[in-house]
Amino acid sequence: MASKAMHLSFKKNFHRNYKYFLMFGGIAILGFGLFYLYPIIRTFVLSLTDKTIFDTDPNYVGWANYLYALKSDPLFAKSIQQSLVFALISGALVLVTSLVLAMLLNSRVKFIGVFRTIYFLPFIIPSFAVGAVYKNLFNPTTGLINNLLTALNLIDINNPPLWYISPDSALMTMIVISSFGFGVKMLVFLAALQGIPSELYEVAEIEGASKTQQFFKITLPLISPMLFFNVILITIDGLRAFSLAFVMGNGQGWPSNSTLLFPIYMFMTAFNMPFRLGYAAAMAYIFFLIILALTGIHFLMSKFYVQKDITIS
Amino acid sequence: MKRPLLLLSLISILTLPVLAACDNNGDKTLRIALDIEDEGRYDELFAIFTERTGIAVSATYGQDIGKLIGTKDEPDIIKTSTVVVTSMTPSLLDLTTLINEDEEIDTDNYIDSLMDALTIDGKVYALPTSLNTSLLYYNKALFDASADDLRDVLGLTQSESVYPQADWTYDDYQAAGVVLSKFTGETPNVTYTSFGAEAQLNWWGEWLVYVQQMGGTFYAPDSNNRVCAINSPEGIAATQFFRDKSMGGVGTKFAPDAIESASSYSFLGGNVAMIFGGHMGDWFSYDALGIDWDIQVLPKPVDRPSAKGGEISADAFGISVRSKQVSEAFSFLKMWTGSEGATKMYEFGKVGALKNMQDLIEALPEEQQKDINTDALFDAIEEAVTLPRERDFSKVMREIVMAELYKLMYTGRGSETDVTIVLNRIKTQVDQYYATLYGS
Repeated sequence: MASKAMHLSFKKNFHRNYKYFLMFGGIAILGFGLFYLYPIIRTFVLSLTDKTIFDTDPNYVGWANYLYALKSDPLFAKSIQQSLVFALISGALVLVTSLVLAMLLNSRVKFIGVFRTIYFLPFIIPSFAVGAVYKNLFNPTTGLINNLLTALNLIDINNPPLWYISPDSALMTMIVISSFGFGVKMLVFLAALQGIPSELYEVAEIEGASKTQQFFKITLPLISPMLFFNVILITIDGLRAFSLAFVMGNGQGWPSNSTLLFPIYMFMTAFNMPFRLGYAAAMAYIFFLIILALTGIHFLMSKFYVQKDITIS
Repeated sequence: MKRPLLLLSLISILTLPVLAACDNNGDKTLRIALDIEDEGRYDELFAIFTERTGIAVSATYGQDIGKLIGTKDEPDIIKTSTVVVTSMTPSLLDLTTLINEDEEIDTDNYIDSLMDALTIDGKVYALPTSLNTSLLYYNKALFDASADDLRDVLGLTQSESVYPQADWTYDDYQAAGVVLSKFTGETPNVTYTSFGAEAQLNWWGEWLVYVQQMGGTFYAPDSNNRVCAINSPEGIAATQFFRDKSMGGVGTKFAPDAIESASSYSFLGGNVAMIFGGHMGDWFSYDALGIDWDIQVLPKPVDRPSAKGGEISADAFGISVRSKQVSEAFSFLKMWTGSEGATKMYEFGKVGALKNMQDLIEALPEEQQKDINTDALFDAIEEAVTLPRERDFSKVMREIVMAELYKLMYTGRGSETDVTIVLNRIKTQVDQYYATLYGS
């Protein structure tokens, strides 16, 4: 009897909660289904065909696209390798720059609000415009950077760095430029830094802790959850980098495929002749698995540096 | 009472856009998607067609045709070209029957090489509306400014023109180019302020024309376009000329290298005197910028005065396989690609692809004729060839050939100097690409 009453009560509660669940979550679920789940499934189906954009009746090719990418396409391997190098180095630079700037902008100085605004302003400029500006700055003969370095006697005027002109240095130039992309990450760090009670630093000072010790014993552990969040964000951002590489490499990995990051190669494969949409879909899936694996590694590594149980008494 | 009202309101709001999209008076409308730079260009042509047939033509601009086809939202009339038509055939209706059953249209009226490129396995997939061919463009003002030096170096009398001539050889082209290249400083610290010619370092157009004019081919003959033949003696000679033009010393060099190219040296910028190849789509820009320009047929290798090798291609339009208005769309294509449409195209700044195009231009009142060397244009068409019909040609050129050739075009880290080594590497990569794709 009691169990029947419990069952009825559960059923009643379930129906009542189910209604609210649908009311609140319905639109999101519908959106997820339409704009994420369906494309994910559709992309997978595409990846098993030889479809081009103009094909109305593509053939099923099984895993052939995956095997071709992994075994026979040197540019696929090159673009993946360059994307990983870009994400790793640029990510590290962005992480350090954003943390350092966040710490500076967390200082108690006059007009700090103005400084925070000024430092964030560049990040509302579209990457395409940023890329075009940097191309001018890094021009080997007329650019401001080389002119400045020449004036400071840091480079030989007859043998200046070629920056984005040489395939040997184009990727590195792009990495340097992208390291200024710290905007949102800087804000995340700033928010985390502002959450640290100042008393902790005061006590540490009284105890005789140096600034370095304060940073490693107080600041870093307390912002480690946000550090982890930023690491994930930066890794995914770096691997998906498109706009800057598109502008710097004229949309085709110029010069000599040296700025050919994976998203650019995938785009070129799908939307340039011969428009191999099925193959591009297979490449996208392989890349998704790589990002998934890297994120998994980050989660595993986070155990060693993320302070999960922070109690400030 | 409230609920039905609410429901009715919601349905009305949802229905509004659908109703708005519908044609109110039931008139027929043909849809066409055009490039963003063509916005408004053909409005007059559309109006003439509507007046005659009662069929409206609705154009959208700047939309990616691939995406429109992918979302099954393609227009009735689809833009293609002699270069991409091979990839687009699944989306294009075979026009052969329509053409054969129509007495007003004859494909023999179009330039043969262009019709050949638009006909695949005996099926015509599109009709050409305007063409592009390789020409030698020159800035008359820059030639005039160096007239005396040009006369000296080309051995011309005072009464002879210093402008490029139809019988120019590569030697003449280079000699004039060197004179037109101005610099300050002394070797090796020379800084150029202007150049005799542009260098196409990211596009195969210029380089491939040199190869073809010298008698070389990209693919080995009889290899079904699967084997690369670019390391032939002709290919090596052409590539060496292409390299020397930008990388040679004073007295040889007359075009910017990769480093100089990044610093705004261009025909459009007014500091480069010639373009070998070029694109007829840029005529509008030259006029808009007030450049005093003209055209000539391409210079030829010294011992090959009648060499073919310039490129010819055409914008073309076909009908979607899903179009419900095939006969209406075909009527429009007929008008557009016929004499009347071709004449209008000339007025719109393009050149139609009809064999009698020169006659059509000359029949126009003089003030409507463009003040350029029209004979040179039609002579250039005669000596031009279409690109190899190979689905992966563009990809191979972009990702392998130009990527490797670029390394020859600058000095510094990562650069190359030996043309033969680079061409051998290109051949190996291209052959490997096709072997992997289709089996050896």
